[in-house]
Amino acid sequence: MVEWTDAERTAISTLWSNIDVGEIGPQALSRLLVVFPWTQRYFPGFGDLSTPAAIAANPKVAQHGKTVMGGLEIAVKNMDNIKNAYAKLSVMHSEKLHVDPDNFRVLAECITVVVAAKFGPSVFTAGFQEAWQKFLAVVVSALGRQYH
Amino acid sequence: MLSKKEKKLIKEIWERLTPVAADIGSDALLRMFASYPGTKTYFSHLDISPGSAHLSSHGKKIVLAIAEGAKDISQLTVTLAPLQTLHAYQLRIDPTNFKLLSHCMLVTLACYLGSEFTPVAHAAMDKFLSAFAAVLSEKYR
Repeated sequence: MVEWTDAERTAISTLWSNIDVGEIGPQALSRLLVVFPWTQRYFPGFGDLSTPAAIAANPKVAQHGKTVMGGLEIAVKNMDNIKNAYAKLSVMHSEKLHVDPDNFRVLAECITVVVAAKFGPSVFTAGFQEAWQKFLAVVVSALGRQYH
Repeated sequence: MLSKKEKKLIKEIWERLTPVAADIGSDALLRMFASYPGTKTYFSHLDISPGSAHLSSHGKKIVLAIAEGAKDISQLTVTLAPLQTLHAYQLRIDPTNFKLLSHCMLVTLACYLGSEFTPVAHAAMDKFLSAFAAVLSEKYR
């Protein structure tokens, strides 16, 4: 089981309470598709992803970004049991979506950069970053857990 | 592969950050030490606590080296030749750590540049820092 310090729990709940899923989600997903363009392979039906501008304006990307970011709520609400809370989602990403689990790590990086850009250095301190990255690492691990 | 546009963008960003090299460098280092404690093992001879003079001067050194490399990216191997030797034969930092510092550098840039650190800038910077790290480790073996 993952052990969280009080400081880490505080950091994560502070950040989460100030994160607008509808804002951060679309930004994180568009960033993923621009910075790591091979991830576009998972979104063949999304329409125009040919330029960064097209990606930023793409409504399907925005909608999906919201969905994915919203999925983090499960982890925030189940911090002491993330592995089990994500079991079904993990199976789905493996069996149905066939997503290479390394992509979870890469999306987590993009989410972190977007959060950093939004909060700036005085809120997103080294300590907050550590807690946030640890949290995302646990989510990433849980999502890959049911792959076989 | 870095396009001409990307090289120009990278050069401009580092030019702008050169006056605050110590702040940027120490911020990135502190983030790395906090998230990846194993990296601290390379600094047992320095005081790397927040606000320390060592942290500031070391952060400055690193950022100035990166900014120097950014001035003419096509000449990276020439520019970095002395640092290649230093890292290969003296410092011998495990190259995996370059990735960790690069990631923290990206977070620092995002913090300081905010929405200006667009996905396009991020992509270019990620590529540049990867190339920089690769050149830095060229003499390791």
